[in-house]
Amino acid sequence: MKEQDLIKGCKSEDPTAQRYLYDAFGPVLFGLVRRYIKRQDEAEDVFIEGMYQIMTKINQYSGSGSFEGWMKKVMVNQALMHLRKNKHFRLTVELSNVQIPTKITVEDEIAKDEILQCLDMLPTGYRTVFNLYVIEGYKHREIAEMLDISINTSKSQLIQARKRLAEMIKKKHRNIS
Amino acid sequence: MMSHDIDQLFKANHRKLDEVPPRSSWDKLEMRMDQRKTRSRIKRIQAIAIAAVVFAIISFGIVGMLYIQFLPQSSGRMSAHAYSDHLEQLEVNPAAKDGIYSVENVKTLHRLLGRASSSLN
Repeated sequence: MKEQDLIKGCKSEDPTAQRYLYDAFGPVLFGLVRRYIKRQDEAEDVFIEGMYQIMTKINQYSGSGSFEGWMKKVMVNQALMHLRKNKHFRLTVELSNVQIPTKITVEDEIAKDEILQCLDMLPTGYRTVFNLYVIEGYKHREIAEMLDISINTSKSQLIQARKRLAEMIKKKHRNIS
Repeated sequence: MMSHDIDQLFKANHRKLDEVPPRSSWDKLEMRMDQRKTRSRIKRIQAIAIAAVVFAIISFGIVGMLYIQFLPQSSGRMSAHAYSDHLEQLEVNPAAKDGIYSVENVKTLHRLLGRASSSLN
C-alpha cells in the first residue's frame, strides 16, 4: 500500500489501513518509546496511547514533511508527557558544574541489548536529553522548551549522558576482552 | 574496527531497538478505538434526540400561540353573531321573551359579548 493511500485510509478510519499502519510502523515507534521508558509495561501503555493519538489525529497531518517524522514526534511527545506526569525528571545540573570530557572513542558496533541496557542505566533526565538530541535531532533550544528547562541544563545533561555511556561501554568491552 | 564518538555509535545503531510491540497492544488499541466510535455514535444520537425535542417544543409553542391568538377571537365573534341572530328571532317570536331569554337579558348579554370581543381584538 502506498503511503498516500495509507494516510487516506486512516483518515477515513478504514480498519484495514489502520492495521497496516500499525504493522508497518509499530516496531519503529515501539522501539522509540523503549528508548525513553525503562519499564516494558509502561512503554506498552505509552505506545498504545501514542498510536491512538496518531490514528485519531491523523487529520492534523498536513502532508508536508515526512509522515514517519510526524508519527515519531507524536510518540516522543507522548513519552515526554508520561515522564513529566510521573515526575521522572531531575534536571538540575548546570553546565558550570560539569566537566566537559575530551572526545570519547568507542567501537562502532554495539548489540541491541547493550544499547538498551546502557540507556536504561542512565538517569531519566540524561537519557531523555540524549535521545532527543542525538537520535531525534532536536536542538538544545527546542529540548529546553519541550522539557521546560534551561538550555544550559539541556547541554549539561547531554554531556553527562555521553560521559556515562562511554564509561559503560568501555567497561563492558574491557570485561569481554 | 573504526572508532566513532558515542553519538555516532548510538545514532547508527538505534534502529536495532526496533521491536515488534507486544501481541496484546493491537487488541488494546482496537478496543480503545471501538470505545471512541461507540462514544461518538452515542453523542450523535444524543444530538439528534436533543434537536428533535427542541423542534417539538418550538412547534408546540408556535401551534399553542396561534391557538391562543386566533381561536378564542373567532369563537367570540361567532357567539356575538349567534346571539344577534337569536335576538332577531326573539323579536320575531315574542313567546321567547319570558324567563332568562327576556329581551332585556339578551340585550345585556349581547352588549357584554360585544365588549369582550372588542377587547380581544
